[in-house]
Amino acid sequence: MSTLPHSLLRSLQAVFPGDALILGQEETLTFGKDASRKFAQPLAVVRPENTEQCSELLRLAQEWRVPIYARGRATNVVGGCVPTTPGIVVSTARMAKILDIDGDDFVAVCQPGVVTGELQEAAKAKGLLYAPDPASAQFSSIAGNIAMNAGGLRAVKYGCTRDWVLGVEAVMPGGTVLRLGSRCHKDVAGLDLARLFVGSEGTLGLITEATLKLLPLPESQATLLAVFPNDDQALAAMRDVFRAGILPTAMEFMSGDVLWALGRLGSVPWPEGSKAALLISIDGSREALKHDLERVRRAVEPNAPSLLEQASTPEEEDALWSHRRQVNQAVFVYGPDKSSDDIAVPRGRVGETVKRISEIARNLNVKIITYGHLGDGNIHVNYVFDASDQDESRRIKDAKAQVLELTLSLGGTITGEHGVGLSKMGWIARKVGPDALAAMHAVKAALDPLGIMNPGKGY
Amino acid sequence: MSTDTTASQAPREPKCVFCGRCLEVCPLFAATGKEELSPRAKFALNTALDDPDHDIAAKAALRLTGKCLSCGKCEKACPNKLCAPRLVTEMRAANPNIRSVLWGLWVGQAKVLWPMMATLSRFAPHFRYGRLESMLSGLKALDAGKAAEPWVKAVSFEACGRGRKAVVFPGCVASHVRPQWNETAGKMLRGMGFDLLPNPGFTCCACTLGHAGLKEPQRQMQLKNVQAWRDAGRPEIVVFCATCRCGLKGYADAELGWELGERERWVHALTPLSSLAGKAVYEVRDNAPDKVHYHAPCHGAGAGQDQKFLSGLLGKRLSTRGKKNLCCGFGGSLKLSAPELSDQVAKRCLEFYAPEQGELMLSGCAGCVIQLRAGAPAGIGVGHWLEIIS
Ligand SMILES: Cc1cc2nc3c(=O)[nH]c(=O)nc-3n(C[C@H](O)[C@H](O)[C@H](O)COP(=O)(O)OP(=O)(O)OC[C@H]3O[C@@H](n4cnc5c(N)ncnc54)[C@H](O)[C@@H]3O)c2cc1C
Ligand code: SF4
Ligand code: SF4
Repeated sequence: MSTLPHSLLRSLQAVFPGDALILGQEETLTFGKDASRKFAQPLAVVRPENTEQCSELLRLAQEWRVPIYARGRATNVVGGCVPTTPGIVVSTARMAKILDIDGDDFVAVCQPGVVTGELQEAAKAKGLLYAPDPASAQFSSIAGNIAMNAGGLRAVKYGCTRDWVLGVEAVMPGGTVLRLGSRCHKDVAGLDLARLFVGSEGTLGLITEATLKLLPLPESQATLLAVFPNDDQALAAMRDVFRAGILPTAMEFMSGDVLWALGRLGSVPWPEGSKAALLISIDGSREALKHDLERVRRAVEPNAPSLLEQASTPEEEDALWSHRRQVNQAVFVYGPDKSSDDIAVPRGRVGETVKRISEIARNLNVKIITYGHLGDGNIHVNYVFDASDQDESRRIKDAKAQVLELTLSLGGTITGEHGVGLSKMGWIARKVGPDALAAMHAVKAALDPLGIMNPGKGY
Repeated sequence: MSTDTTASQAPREPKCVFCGRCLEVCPLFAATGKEELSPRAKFALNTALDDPDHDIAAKAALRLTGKCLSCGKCEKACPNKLCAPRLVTEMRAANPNIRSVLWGLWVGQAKVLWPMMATLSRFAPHFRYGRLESMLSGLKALDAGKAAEPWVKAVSFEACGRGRKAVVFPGCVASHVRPQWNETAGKMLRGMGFDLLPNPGFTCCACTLGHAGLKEPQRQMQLKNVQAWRDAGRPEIVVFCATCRCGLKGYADAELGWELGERERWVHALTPLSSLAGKAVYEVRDNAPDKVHYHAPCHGAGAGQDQKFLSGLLGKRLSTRGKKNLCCGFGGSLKLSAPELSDQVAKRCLEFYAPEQGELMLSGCAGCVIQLRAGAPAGIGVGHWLEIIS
């Protein structure tokens, strides 16, 4: 294993005294891994507490051409923070303060390591909403969400992280500190570099502060669970809800396979043999909600659901959503191993996509399960198999390739929210085309000329 | 580099999928910002030990994974129900090391060591006892002179104990340092009409020995306690320390030569004192503090009997504010192996409650009381809830 040059080490020790710098192989091991479960051993880990330390770090890293890997909670599933070229991992665990929540400006200012769920809670306590809601909100960081442009359940109505970033403070290779954007909800002065950092996957600079947009907290919300005897009825119901002029906060789809698997895990309210389910959430003022719920019901009912259950209290809602939360575990009834993709297609093509994925599964004789954020066209595709069966593993590989081909042919994308990282690097050129890819490389070269920021990831 | 992209493991053979849920609840990570101490880091290290691609040093890995409060919060948060303390115990049992031996000595010889350490701490404040020093500060804090003044008086009892035989399980602290807890518990039970039997020879609950990986001494103590209970005619066992209660409940999962139906009877016999204490009428005196903070211990707070009792007794005076990753820092063997980390966890805990001058902190666990009383600033009382009752 290579090590850092002595004089760089001495400089780092001066900037990161005590346990703010760690070098031992055992101590740094965990920092080489993320939720993709890929691994590479870091050379060192630093734990800055302020922007100045980050600036000094990036000055040294540029001077010594040492790769830098930003790390929030390492919950990304694409190898985004694995230090594949030996380098220094920057843990944001000690930059985790909420600096401001302002109910007049409708703005929150955070250090990068703040856990998104904590920000949501703190905003809620002041009657405000931080809208992005990835399923990992309780255990992923704000800067990680920004760097991956995390989406989530509420994206149908509230969009992804991108739509809530007003400003970013970022430290660039060489140590320059950029303050981009502002607390203004409208700010069109110059190129929108703040949002360039959204989805940048740690490849441009280190985010050291984020200014985020807040909303007044909706007064109430409610959820409907509608279960159908076949897919077509569910997809028609989804279309009819949108046509009724209602924008739900969430519109989740679970296929027949998912419903069956959930039934094996515990008791479920739907009849055996159900083929599709929709979870539809709406929010708003108490009066408006009553009215909108009625309209959603009227849109769904003609599609003949076999079950229509409504939850209006937080406890009831939790009970309905708990089924959705268990999907990840439940699908293992079909096999001991799982691989997944998070494709997205234009909303109008969701039905066709789901059907054609089923055809691929049938043709290759593999188990592919689809569910997810149908309301925004983001479909989770799970391939469940037995990795010890080589023939099946090969067929799964073919199936994955065919699903991604299909997605692109329908005008979709290889990732709706999880990002490219290392995992989807083989597909990015196909997705964006050679000219766009060259433009991305040019942007990277302009901001990170020596390529020290998270090399080998994203694009 | 290893492993396929987004593959994850079947729950049939639960493995850490590195999802990060456990970081959010781990008090050690919260207080230190050190991910290498997090639950998932412990699992990663353990996996690396078995992997020929990694040349991880077993001793260093053990030292690192051993830094754990055994609070059990990670297991509850983990989708695969992975339990870091269990991993630590297994690793320790396989590699006995000096820390475990020290800890075993401390609890195993409680009769000798607890009072001795309390005495040392009182009479020789400059005495250097290496890593035991921070433990001593805890014991010093428990010294009689610092007890919380009682300000609640039990005026009448419901005769719910009539015809019931009971023993009190005192635990280490009440046995050796705070006999008053035991006395108050006894008076309450007699007041309720229980036929209170003398201590049949209970020793420590031994769950701490288990955390330290000292399985055999733990088993010996467990056997001794079960035998004492049998000898006393299998009476109800009234417990006032939440952690002891949790440890004693765990006996049912161990092979202790149980007779048919005896396991169930043991679990049924374990009664939290707080579940009985609510059956008395109390008078709150004028010297009551304006605000009382309740610290829920990590262990044994399960059904929330202590909090329920105190809420009923103290009403608005009681603040039950909590947080998912809060812990006093006493647990596991951290106090011996890394006292500075244990102190950091305690500091964060006290900062969360932020008690003001004249306010009181109460808990139902002896370990929490020791730890918080040692760390609390002057003028802030910390005690077991039994201390406020006269
Ligand atoms: C159970 C589970 C559920 C999930 N659900 C969702 C979901 O619903 N929607 C969704 O979009 N994602 C989801 N994810 C993926 C993941 O949670 C998100 O990608 C999240 O945004 C990652 O945040 P993090 O703090 O873990 O970042 P990390 O994984 O630590 O880092 C992610 C990327 O951001 C970079 N980065 C981190 N901090 C900084 C910084 N300060 N400056 C610059 N770059 C930085 C890293 O280098 C890396 O490339 C889920 C993951 C899990 C395990
Ligand atoms: S038992 Fe507690 S301290 Fe130990 S790893 Fe789990 S959460 Fe952290
Ligand atoms: S919660 Fe469980 S599976 Fe997830 S990282 Fe922690 S130990 Fe691993």
